[in-house]
Amino acid sequence: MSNFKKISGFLHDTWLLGWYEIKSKYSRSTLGPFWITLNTLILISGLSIVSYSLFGMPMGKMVPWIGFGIITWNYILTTVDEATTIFLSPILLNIRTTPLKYSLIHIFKNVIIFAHNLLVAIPILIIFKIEINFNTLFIFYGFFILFVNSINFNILVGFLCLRYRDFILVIKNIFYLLFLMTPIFWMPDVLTGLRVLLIDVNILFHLIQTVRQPLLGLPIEKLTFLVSIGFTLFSSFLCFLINKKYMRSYIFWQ
Amino acid sequence: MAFIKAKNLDLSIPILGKTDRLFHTANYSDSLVGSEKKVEKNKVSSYILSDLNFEFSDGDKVGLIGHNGSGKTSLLRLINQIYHPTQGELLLDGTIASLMDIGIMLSPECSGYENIKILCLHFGFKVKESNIVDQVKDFSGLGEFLNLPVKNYSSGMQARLVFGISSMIRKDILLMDEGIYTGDYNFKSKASEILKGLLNSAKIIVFASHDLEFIRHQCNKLIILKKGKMNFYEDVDKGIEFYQSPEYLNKI
Repeated sequence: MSNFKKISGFLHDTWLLGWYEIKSKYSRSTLGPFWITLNTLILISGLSIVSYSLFGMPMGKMVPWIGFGIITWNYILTTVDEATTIFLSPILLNIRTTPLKYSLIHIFKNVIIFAHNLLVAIPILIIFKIEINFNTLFIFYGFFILFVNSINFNILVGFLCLRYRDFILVIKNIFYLLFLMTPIFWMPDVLTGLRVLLIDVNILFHLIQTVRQPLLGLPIEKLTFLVSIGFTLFSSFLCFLINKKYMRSYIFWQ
Repeated sequence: MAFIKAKNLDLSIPILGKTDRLFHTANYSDSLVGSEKKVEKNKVSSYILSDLNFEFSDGDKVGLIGHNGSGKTSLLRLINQIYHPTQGELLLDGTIASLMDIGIMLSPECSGYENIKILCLHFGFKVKESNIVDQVKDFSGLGEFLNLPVKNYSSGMQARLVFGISSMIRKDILLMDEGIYTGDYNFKSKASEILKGLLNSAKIIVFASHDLEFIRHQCNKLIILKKGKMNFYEDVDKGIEFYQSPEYLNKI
């Protein structure tokens, strides 16, 4: 019981700290965090028009695909982008904390941003009359996979970029390329033959699919299931090892 | 019972991104700033603290003095478990609070009230259970200013807020770096009263400072650091005398 209390207290504290981060970031703007919602809305509309003209897909199919894709992608992108500089904070030199606790503050902040982005999903669901069915329930599986991986990304990328500063820039560039390479604003079925490999080995695509498919009311594919579970187990294991090995010395890399 | 025990404590911090040959052959400055350099397998590091041995228990008020870069803050960070020793052992018992550079942790865009809550969360306090917000409000005298963002405060007002929050922290072991209170005349007299209360509430205090008079009055034990090596004094006056004498520059 006391363990449960400890953990819930810990989560409560980190959640509140994440909330204050948001508050201080968006203070004095009229719309506040709803700017995130608006940004996403504009990006989705723009990209939908581009891919409509490029691939000639029907809007009814394209907009939900791009919309839910962008929402999930944004969460992954902000998490990794922040992870590159997260452990550079001078706060870490003045207060006793663990990499996990400090990461969680930022992850909760991104979860709040994600929640604002999810608001965009509501009009899409209504306008394009997407059916809510049994498959939709798998969204919780998707959220869980995404959350666990964001902890792992935060610590792994955070440690890597703290020790080797070149990776801060490398990762920023790679993610820009990955955005173009991953089927977010284009459909995977435009690829034929061996080119399908480009998607099958793309872990980010499978992570996005765990959230996007349930939102579209479609079942998660078997391959996506396997890859997402396998990758999450692998990254958690790696994160556990790296955290254990370097949690005492990472502070010297600042 | 709270205690701090150190056995053959060593701390070296790697200097990253400096591995060129020129740097290897060059020596650190011979004057009294900073610590010794250590080169091992092509890696450069700063030998911050070497072979520290001490033992403190309930009722000890320890002063920590030394030249700039002698390792005072690093030792406080070691005790606070922000740094971990490279070699040797550090045994601790009791809850620890560190009042080091708290000002850096204020969020400038958040209001005074919010900052009180943020710092409490960082320090692991339950805001709801204690009436810490009211106490800080009373003590700091900031009143309605607590509703404004901290970036609109003058540095003196920020110091009032920081000191107000720090003074509410009650733990067994208290680590303090110097410069914790500044403010105008009215505030200083109020602050020194509170500071005394704070000093009496903790079981062990380690205080790093250049204010020798303060240390003479408050402390009953003294550590003098020079380039990461320590001299320990039970008699504070004798220690300060040594620190001020030319011997300090030659010995240790």
